[in-house]
Amino acid sequence: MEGRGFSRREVLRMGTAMALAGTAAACAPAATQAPPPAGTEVATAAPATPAQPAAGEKVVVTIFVGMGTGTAPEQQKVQNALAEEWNAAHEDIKIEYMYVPHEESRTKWAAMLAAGTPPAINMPSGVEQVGRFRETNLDIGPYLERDHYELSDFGDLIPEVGKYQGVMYGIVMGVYPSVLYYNEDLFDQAEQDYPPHEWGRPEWNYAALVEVAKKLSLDSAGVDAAGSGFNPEEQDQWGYDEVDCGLGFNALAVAWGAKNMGWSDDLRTLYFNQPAWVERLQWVSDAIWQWHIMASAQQVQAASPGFHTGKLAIDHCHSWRMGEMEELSFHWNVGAIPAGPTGILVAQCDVDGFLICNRFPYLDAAWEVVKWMLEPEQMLRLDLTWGALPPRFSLRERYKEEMKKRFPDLDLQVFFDSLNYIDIPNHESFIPRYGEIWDAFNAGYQKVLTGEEKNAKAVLDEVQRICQGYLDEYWAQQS
Amino acid sequence: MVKLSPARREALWAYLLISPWIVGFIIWTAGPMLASLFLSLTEYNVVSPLRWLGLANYSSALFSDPLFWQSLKVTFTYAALSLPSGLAVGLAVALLLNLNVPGLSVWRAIYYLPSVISGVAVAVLWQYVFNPRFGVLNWALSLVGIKGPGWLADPKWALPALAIMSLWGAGGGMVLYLAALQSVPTALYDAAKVDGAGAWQRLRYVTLPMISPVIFFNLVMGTIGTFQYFTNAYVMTQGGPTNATLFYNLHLYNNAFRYFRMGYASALAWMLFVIILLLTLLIFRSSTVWVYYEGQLRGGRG
Amino acid sequence: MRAQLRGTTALRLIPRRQALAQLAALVVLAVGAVGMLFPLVWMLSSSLKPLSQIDLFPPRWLPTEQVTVRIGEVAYPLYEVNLDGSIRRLVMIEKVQRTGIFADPADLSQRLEANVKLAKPVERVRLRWENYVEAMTAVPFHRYAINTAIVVFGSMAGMLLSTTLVAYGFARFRAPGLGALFLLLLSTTMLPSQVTLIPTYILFSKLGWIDTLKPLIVPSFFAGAYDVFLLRQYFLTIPLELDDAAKIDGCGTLGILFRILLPLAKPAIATLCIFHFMWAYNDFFGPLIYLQHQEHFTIALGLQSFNAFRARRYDLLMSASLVTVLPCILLFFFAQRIFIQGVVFTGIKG
Repeated sequence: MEGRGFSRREVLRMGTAMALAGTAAACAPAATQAPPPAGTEVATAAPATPAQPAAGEKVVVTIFVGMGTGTAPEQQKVQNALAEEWNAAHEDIKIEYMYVPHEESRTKWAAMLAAGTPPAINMPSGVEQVGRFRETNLDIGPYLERDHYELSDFGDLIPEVGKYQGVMYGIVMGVYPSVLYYNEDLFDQAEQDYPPHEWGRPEWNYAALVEVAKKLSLDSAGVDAAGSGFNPEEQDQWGYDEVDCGLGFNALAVAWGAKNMGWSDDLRTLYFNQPAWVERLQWVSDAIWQWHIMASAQQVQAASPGFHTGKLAIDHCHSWRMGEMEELSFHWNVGAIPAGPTGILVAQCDVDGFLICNRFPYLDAAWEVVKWMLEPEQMLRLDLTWGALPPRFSLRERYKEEMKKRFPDLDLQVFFDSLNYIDIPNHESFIPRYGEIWDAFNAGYQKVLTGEEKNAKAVLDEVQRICQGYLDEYWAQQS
Repeated sequence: MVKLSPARREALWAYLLISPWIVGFIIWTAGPMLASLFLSLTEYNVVSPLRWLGLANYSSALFSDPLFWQSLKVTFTYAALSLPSGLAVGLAVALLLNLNVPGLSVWRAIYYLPSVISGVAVAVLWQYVFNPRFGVLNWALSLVGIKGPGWLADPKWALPALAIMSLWGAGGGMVLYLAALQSVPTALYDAAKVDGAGAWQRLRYVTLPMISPVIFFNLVMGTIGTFQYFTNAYVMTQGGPTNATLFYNLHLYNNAFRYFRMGYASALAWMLFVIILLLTLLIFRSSTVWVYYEGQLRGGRG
Repeated sequence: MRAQLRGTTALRLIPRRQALAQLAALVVLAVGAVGMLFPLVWMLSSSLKPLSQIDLFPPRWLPTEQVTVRIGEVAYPLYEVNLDGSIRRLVMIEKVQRTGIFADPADLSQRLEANVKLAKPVERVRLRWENYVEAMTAVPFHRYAINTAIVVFGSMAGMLLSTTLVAYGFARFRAPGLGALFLLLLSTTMLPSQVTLIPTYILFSKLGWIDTLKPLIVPSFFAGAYDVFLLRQYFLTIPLELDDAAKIDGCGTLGILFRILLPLAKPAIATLCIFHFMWAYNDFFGPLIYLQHQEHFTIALGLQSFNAFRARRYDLLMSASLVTVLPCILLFFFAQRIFIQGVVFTGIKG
């Protein structure tokens, strides 16, 4: 009946609906004006005199974990224990860890920064972030000077990795040198000599590696790639791999004579198709399609020949690979990386360090925390849980002792000697439009892996064109 | 009290009922959407201050980003492959599961499982299916004498592989069809049988029209969703091999959070918005022809 | 008759054509079911393996380990060694390059040397149930479960409350601009969320809701586009005559909603609840962005810690995933009843 009016229940329901809408509207700020992103204010350099907290106020120093390793449960336990130790001993500064899954870590960090609430410290974080976030990275040079911080325990080479364009932003806390992992059982079965553990042996170069690897690449009938009758369609074992590890191609090319990491010092010109790069990429192409010692993309899809599966004889990779090496069913050890055609020896190194965000309000406190984490005791605990080697010379023996418990037969000296041949500048050094340039390079590299284009020069000429285009567009927009 | 006209009362009721959404839109959605529109006219990489670019991001996408066109091509191709087949398969499975088959509740639960399990397990499943040498699909093909391609490792076949994968997740749509099938009045089927209609005719003239609102829903949401396809490409192929599966939304994500080009990514997002909006309007236009509502108000929007 | 009980197993004689059709349907369903069940089976198998065996391909379905013989304090690995044709089970004491030094487990003093090529490891099946214990204790699951329950059911309540009202408004009323508003509603799903992520985060940050569960619950009280569209479509299939009849009986506007439409829309409501549960339960991105302290995490986010960079524990991830997937499977299995039981009532002629 029209105009009957509402029943009590209906009034109640209407009222609830309205009240809900009303309170929500009341709670909301004037959100029609979108708050401007934090970066619209001119980015301030770190203040000359950093802010100090009010007397008695506790400063919370957040450590952001996720840009590198460190988020696994057992790693969290170790890091949380460190935080608890510090917090028990300090009244004025409190450490809080924040763990974010790696794939989404950049997203979350960007959101926090844009909202004006960045974490204090990014730890562990790698070389790429040093350059990429340089506008928010704290220049720690002044702090190093103020405290007369001693870097001699790190050697001469390693501290350089924490610099970008001459400014020191971070100190290396853990290194992941690269070596050749080799499967002893496969070598035994093929009756080949193991790779040398000593670095710089004159007869150990990539050509010798190819010869050995051919003997270790077998098809399902057991015929090796050096012999006749080898059937690549039915390949079951591969002699060598350097792709899965994600090694920096620019560092690999240094062994072939490249004079730079792929770009000019002023970051305006790329040299992605220089002769050394073409030769090095052609080597990869031949390794897959001529000598059959490396798996093609299709073969990787088909057989997943990771080192831990026992189908790969030699794995050119960083030390963090050891995280996958528990309870393997075969004997393995590590050896030296071979030299290039002209005798140049490069063993690239991944690096983890810390970065302090210069937008964090209490920089002194952050620096105190970082200094404590850099001390040998804490650094060793962090390195062991991250799977890194300690950069401090003084920690080497203790590190070896700890690792002996997990891998009693492993020759750890190979890792330490590798540090004498690291890539400087680092293969992860930043360049404008870093992400797009390397993604474009990888797309070209994939053409070699899938066999779509086996001629390295053709691939690299195209990549050079595209990437130089990106760089040119960037510099044009800067003016 | 003022006596409102029936039309006025109806309109007032409508707005009152919808008010929760309107308020929510104003609070949570409108601001960020407008902010991203603004960002699309700037260069913004989070760490540095904003720079005004005007329409430079848009022209950059259209004229100097080869991956822009590549990603559009990938996305449209995928939509053409997966949308029609996805709709059909979801409906077919629902029809199958609406029959009087023994153990029905168990079957239904099994077919809904894919929607429930996500992540690594699913990725591994597909590696078994698409494995070039040992996979189920190539093995089945070999039985009829065809040598199967490299699938996810082959630039020409990675996209079709992903389209095949999408069929497996048809369980989500299936649930909706089941709900709709349940509510088709049996009186209609009885009347049709009396008129001499066979099974196929009953399907075509009774079932499909009666569930057309749900088909319409799946078509619209499917279109909106398919053009924003992201997760599997991100997890399984990372856009490869050689950008063969570089979906538009993945290209957008790369620009936003890999390259930190938020402004450019926002421009890409708004261009996609326009595309999806136009397609949706087209579907709405067409719906007056083929969608039937029992409870539609005359003059109401379809 | 609006609907009748469907899908109940009927124990009665059925004509042959129907039987054949059912058999065909069963065959098709069974084949498809293999694909559907496969991931579960693989997850189960993987959850019982040591990490090193998980991504072997072709896969080993039964986890195995090499048998070791404990002699004194040391566990020696056992091999089957081929010595001039006769196979003997020996333990390996040491390996020097290609030569293994073996011994009979009964008498270690008798050493034999053999080329390692001739030795095959002896393996046995071993299901690592301890993976489950380790996974459940490595992270504070009970805490995560509580948070997940709060988020899932809190947001579901909000979703139901708001969606029913809004969908009713769009389905049963005419008003100027309503069509445009509906299109606006839909259009909010057309903009990829990556580009509104940071502005939305800033909004929540200014509200002070970061590191609370509020960003995951409160927005649901304002009706989401997908849910509204779905329910609205469903409402549109319900004949108007029912509304009119109710009005004649003296039902008010909201009464029509609660007494006529919602009871008839039970399958759709159930669907909404199931979809919402799945989405909220598995959503890890929202929690990832808005939460900071571990004690606020949800299950989906907690699982990610097993997938850490360069420290993947797929074995633990599989066990934890299986445990967390169980509620979803059970929920759907039991919620089916709502689909099966339609609503029977005296309907309208014609």
